[in-house]
Amino acid sequence: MNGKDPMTTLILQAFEGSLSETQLQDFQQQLQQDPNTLKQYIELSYDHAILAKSIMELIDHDNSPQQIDTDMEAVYREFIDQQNRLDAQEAEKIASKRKKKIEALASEQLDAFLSEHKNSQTKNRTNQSITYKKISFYRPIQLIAACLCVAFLAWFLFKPTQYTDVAKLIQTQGAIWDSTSDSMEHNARLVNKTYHLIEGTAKIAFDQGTLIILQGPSKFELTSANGASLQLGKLTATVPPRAIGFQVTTPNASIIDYGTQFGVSVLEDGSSECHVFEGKVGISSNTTPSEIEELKSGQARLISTNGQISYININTTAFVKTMPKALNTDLKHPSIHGSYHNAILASNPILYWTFDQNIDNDNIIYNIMSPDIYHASSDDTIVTEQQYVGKNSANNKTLILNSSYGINSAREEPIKQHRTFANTIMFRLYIDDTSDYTARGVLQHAFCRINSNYPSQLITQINILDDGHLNYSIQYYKNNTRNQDSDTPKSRNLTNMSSLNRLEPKKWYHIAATYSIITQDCHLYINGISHNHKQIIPLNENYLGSKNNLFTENICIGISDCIEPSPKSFQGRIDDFTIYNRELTKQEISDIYKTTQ
Amino acid sequence: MSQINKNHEQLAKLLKSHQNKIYAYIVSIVHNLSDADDLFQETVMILCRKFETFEQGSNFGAWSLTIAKNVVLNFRQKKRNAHVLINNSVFELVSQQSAIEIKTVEKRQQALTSCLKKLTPDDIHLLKLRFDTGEKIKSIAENMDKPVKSLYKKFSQLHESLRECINRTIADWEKA
Repeated sequence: MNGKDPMTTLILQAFEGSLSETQLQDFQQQLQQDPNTLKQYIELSYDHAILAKSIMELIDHDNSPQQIDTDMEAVYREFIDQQNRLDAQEAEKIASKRKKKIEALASEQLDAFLSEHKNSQTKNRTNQSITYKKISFYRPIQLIAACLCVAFLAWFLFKPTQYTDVAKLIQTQGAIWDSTSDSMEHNARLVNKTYHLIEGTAKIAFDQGTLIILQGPSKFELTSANGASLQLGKLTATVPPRAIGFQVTTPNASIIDYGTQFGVSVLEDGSSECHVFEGKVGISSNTTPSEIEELKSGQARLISTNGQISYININTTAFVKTMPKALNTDLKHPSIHGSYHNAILASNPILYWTFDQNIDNDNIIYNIMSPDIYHASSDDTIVTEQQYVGKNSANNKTLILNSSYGINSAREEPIKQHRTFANTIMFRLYIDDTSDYTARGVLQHAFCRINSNYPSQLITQINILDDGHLNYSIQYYKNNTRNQDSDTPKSRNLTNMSSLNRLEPKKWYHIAATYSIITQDCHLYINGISHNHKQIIPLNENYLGSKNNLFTENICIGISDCIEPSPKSFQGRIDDFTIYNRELTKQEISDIYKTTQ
Repeated sequence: MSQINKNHEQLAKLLKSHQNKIYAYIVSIVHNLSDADDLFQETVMILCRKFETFEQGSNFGAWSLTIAKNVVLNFRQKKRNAHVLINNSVFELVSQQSAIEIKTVEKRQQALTSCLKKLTPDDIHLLKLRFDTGEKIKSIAENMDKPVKSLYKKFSQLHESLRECINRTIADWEKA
């Protein structure tokens, strides 16, 4: 297999479109000269196609008829768009007819229809956004169904404005949207409508591949999967070869991409600027749309309100051309709290320790055994550092751990009093040094039930293993028997899973461990990505009694065992420690993580 | 039922039974998954439009692959300046060979189902990341904080072991 690996890697790179010119030459040469390589390539391409299809099938399995209908409409729109491109004049006539028809139908019945349509659209949008790109295998069936429904096509042509997914919001930075914008969360699907970014920046990926970065304040409309209209503000567009032809219109100009990166700004007075950073674009003024001027890299033009095009110097600094990576393991700290804090609060935790009190000394280690740490909060949700760390806290806004004792909340009531079960534990983690990883316990979380008939505990542990991987395990213990010698089984490993990769020192990681008492599913997430998941060995009531009596008893942070603290305790920092009495979904965890970016 | 409706019903059936092969063929000649999705869609639209001209009783598989090839040729013409395209002679070589091998797709699919069961949960997880989320290997590596090169190696080994398992399974079936 070793001999084949380089060629397989080359083939995988080809599938991803990431071959360099030299690699392409090598790839071609091998295909031409070696029949076995050709066979290998074709077989791997079939396997890729099948894998892509199988995943799509799984996703489409949950498609509701409504979603398919909505997607069928999208196919129609695409078809019509295609026709429009072929015959712009004809399209104009259709649009004009359509407009007149809609105007003529301005009656109570139309209002009722609009209202119904809007509700249905809102309901469908979220699910549709997830599946839209994945269902091309079902397009044939939809197309056939579409062909059968000529009447539907006629209805589609004359019905009021229909929203279609055209792009995806992939990253934001300090973005504030106006209240009329839809839910502008990360990965939200965007439709062909107008959006208003009041401040901050937002990165949007169009379905045809173009990436744009918007700078607030901006008002823009997504006109299609390969076009936008900027009414105010700035955007930078990066257009890959497959999206050549991407078009940006402004109140007084049109910019057509020929494969490039360019910036467009629209000022309050309605004038526009176009700056070309790479490649070429064509620009035309609305007053003389047929006169297209070609701009090359390094050139810029001002299009005044009266449509006059004039030379200006290129401004490379006024446009944001790159944003930080969406998934960065090195979380910014401690300035992330605004959006992260809000995301946590919005997700209804039962406990959230922020460790945020500002004090002057940076180097003081918490007096972890201080009773001040364990004071109950009057607020069930937020427990501040002052309440939990007391007077000996530091200015670092994190919980510094370098003691073999860690923090033990066992004697305190704030957790017990919830009388609830912690199904999700989430926190941020920073390892000081990995010179000696040996089984450093990050935390132990004991789920306990108090019932004299079934005295028992579930113990969750999160440890850093010898090799630097993060391990999440759950064990069952018959209560009060951990230190007793007896032949009867007193404990049982229910699940044990590790992260896919080792954790590096000097980096912040976002960790979440979930356990569903209903489905028995356990997940370990790192930086919003699921690293492992397993179903635990089911526990019946002989072990634990009624699930209703199971609740979190105590949490120990910085050590792996509350009862017998090991000298191999965790050395590093923990922040934003949160527990929930429900299993957070993958999407929720991912969304919360992304607010740290 | 009208003749038009009968035609469409027939096309739906034919597409359902041939779509895997059409898609696999496009992937093999365009060697880029995201382009393949768009080209597959375009092919299906053309098949839909031109079905009236399809001679009943003739080979739908060959006809659909010819249309798919023309769609890809058209795409190549538009993108002729992009350096990621294989040259014409290699394209012809691959498309000819792929058209011959395409009959194996269904067997590969069946074999793949059983071979996937032999993978570890971690490997399955990686495949899901790649094909479920549609993320590229580079992006998965970044998210997992792993070197891109090592993840390419991991995926290479994974795909190669799957390929070997599929070929072995098909060979066993043929012997039996």
